[in-house]
Amino acid sequence: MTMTPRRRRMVLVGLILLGVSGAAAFALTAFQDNLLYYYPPSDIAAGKAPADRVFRLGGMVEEGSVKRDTGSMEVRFVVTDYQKDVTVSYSGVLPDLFRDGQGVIARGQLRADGVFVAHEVLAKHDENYMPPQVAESLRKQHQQKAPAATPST
Amino acid sequence: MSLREFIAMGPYGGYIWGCYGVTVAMLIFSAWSARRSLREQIGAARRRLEMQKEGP
Amino acid sequence: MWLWFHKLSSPPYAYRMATLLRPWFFWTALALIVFAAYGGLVLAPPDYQQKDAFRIIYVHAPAAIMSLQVYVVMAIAAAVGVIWRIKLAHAVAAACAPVGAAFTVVALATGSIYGKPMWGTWWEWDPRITSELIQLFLYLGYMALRASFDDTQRADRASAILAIVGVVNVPIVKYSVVWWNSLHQAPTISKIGKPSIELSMAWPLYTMLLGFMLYFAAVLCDRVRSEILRRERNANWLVETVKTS
Repeated sequence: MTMTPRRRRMVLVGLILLGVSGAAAFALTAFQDNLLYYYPPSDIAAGKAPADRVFRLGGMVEEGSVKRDTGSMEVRFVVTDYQKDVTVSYSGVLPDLFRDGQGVIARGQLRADGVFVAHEVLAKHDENYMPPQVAESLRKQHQQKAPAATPST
Repeated sequence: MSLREFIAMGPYGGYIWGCYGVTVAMLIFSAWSARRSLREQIGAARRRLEMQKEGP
Repeated sequence: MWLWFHKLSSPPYAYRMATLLRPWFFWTALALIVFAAYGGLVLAPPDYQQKDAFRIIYVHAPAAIMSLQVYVVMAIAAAVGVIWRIKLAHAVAAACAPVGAAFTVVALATGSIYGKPMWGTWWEWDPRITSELIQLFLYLGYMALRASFDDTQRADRASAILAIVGVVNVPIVKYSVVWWNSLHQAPTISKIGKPSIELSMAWPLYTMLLGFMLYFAAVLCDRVRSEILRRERNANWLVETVKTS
């Protein structure tokens, strides 16, 4: 069977349509699969996170919880949503933005002992941008407000 | 701030200049390809008109 | 109003206007883009968290905004073309697609480069990133669909349907960061209320966006002219126009 130009164009259009709808369907099922792109620690505490497969955990790195194991690449830290906590164990390179109080998304699996073993840790940042001086003065204001709350006579 | 410091952008020079490079390249390419197709169309129209003149 | 509408939709008039306006758009755009890049790279202070890496936002965010805006212009033009049977509207829609695709590629590429040092990954199937990739497929699909027809009228009609259907993806891209919890942060510059970016860091962003808009207008002028030339092969008015330009 010979391909007439018209038939070839029809096949081309069909392939394009198939490609686009395939990509859309693939992406949508990917969302469906993890309806939430990540699970907060509360969901894990409530047993909503899948126990037998890899999923994403999202939350804040608890202040002062980051412990680096001397001698190996392993890092342990606590991810919190200010209601529940999950301890995360990870060995590998951390992104530049990773620090105390930073939003992170870790991909990995929950171990039987409740420790989340991450294969990958990504840092999430917020939509605020400001110069370092402004951030510094905001931080100072914040600190000054706290003692001001207690009446001083 | 020295020029070298400016180019380095801390540890992020490669990423930043990469991004600006990609953007500039795409802007130039997009404008150039639009100009080129316009030149082609003008040339084609001119040739057609000349053929019409020579024709019946 | 209708008189103006008809005048504008007449190909000779549109052709002349495009020729006339193009240099104004182009050189203003160039000046704004250079100025904004200088502002973003040199004048703006580094971010408290992302340090110098945040300077990528000055090309990334405006390109991403344009990737959606160009599509809206394209879909509206296509709809006008279908409803009022205005050939010029179809020409405008066809002219939008390559520019929009270019902006989408820039948004995706710079986003990927931005993601590596900040998030720790080149690519992630995050709702925002995935929907922006679909946006690129929409532009490419639109162009491929047009190219598959020899007859311009049929290409116009078929591709207009795709352009109109595809516009559903625009709000998906825009609100993906709000509807789903994603790796990508929420919008910065369209946020209502407290501004989430310092003025010293914001002005190059708006300047760049304006520059990109005018750049789009300039390239659109060229592309609309070639579309008109291709469509009006045998029109009498072309004789004079082509001779002089």
